[in-house]
Amino acid sequence: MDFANYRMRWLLAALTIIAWAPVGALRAEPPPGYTFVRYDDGLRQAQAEKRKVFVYFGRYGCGYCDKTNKVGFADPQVKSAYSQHYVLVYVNSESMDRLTLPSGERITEMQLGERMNTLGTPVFFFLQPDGKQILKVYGYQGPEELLEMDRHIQQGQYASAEPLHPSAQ
Amino acid sequence: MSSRCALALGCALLGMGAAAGSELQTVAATANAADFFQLESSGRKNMAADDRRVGLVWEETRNRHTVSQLAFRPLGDKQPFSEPLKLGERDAFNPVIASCGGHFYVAWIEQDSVRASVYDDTPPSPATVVAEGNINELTIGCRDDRALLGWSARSGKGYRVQAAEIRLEAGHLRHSEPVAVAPQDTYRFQTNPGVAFAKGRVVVTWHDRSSGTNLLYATSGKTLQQLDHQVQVNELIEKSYEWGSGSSAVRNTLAVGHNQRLVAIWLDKRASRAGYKVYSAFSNDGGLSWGDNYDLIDEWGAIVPQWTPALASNGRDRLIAVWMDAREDRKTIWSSRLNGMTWAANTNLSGDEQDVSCPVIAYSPNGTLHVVWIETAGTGSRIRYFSEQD
Repeated sequence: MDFANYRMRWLLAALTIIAWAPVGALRAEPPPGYTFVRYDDGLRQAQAEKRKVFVYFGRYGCGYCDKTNKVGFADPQVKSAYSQHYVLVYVNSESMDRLTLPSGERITEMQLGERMNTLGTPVFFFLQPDGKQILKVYGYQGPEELLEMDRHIQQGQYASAEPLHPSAQ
Repeated sequence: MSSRCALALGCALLGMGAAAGSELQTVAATANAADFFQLESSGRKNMAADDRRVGLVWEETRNRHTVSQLAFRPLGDKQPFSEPLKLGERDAFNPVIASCGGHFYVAWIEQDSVRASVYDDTPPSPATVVAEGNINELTIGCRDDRALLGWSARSGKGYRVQAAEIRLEAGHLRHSEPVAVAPQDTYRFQTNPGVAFAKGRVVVTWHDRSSGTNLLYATSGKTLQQLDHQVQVNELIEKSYEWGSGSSAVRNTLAVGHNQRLVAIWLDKRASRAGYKVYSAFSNDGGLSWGDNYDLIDEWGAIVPQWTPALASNGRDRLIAVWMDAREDRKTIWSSRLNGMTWAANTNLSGDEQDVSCPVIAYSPNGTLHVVWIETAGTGSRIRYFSEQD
């Protein structure tokens, strides 16, 4: 992406934010219409089915989580691609609920955020079926970004050293 | 020398002396990558001390079974911890401990119930079932010969915090009827309780996300049955697209300091792109009102998130907060001492220890500080302890 395009994307993003200014009640739950599961259940499912994992760290009160749900995940192409290609995992990054990792260790969802070095929310991870990290992206993701990331993962481009998202906040 | 350089040098010198010069010992260890230790409870109440002993409780997961363990260590140089005592009969979680009135009160979650026992110089009292339900988090606080348990349990589609007093009477542990600390129609998701006694009042804190983001609340009363006054403790940063419904306040913990002043600290995500920061508030009237919020984190810690805050006081002149952060590119235990109303510069407590996390702390009445953390290295992990005269 050249600099002019990059700047234009940021400008569009800023305008979108302004257009959304009067917000209603913000939620930080998985987007409706998707089958998101707990992290521990998701990893077990991914290993059994040999599928990659998409992990969404959100929290209550997170405006960009809400916006990603209402804009990014509302796109039918995104829904189709992500539902087909990944085991979908949602983590409430402020929860004290315990997860049992494949190793047997029991940690809270918040501890998982600490271990995966999440600075804020939303944070999105793409993982191999064995849990190894492929890609980590911060902040709001619209349909284009979500589809671009999906292509990146599905085509195996992550094996190269090219960064996907210079705009990750 | 600039003030920044002077402060950096000061911090470096303070940090150098942290773990060095005090004993550092292993409480428990495993070389099996499938075995794990956990120091986790609401408010991080996993250690307590009196003028003779320090008691530590932790979770141990082996072969996918989790037990809660208790060990004591006499005060004094080079004294080892006792062999661990298993709490409960089956898998047990979230153990907590408090010391007051010459007793160590211990509680844990076992088979969806809160169980409690007392350990002193006599054999432990039989475990008492204090409450039953889908209980997730447990905390403890005590003063004189009264101890208070608080927990969060699922209730309908939300959570509610309940509390009960426990007391040793004629060798038996008695408990009061559990009470809900706040109305659930207003506070639908009450989690992460903290409990304390101060200024003749019972104080309970919790966080709740009913308004759209996690806010920290406190209630207090002369008795548990008279809790009637809910106040918000954290300053709310206004709703915006940058910060969503506002800042979040989570993982609160309480201590009672000089003149029974209540101190609360928590992780606050108010205006930092670097994640959670440790903030504090004070109450001088037994939890009825709380003052301004103060940040504990210095400018070097501001660039990384803080995790797992814990707080300890000897009830008089010593009060310290600890947490984990990786400002030096490795997980380190950092601390700040309270001097009057001012938090001192952040100092490194874990020295050169590698990959440490989950700190818990306690003071003996004489001012001896006890510090524990989990160290993970290679395929195993260890619970590490040191003490120092503060």
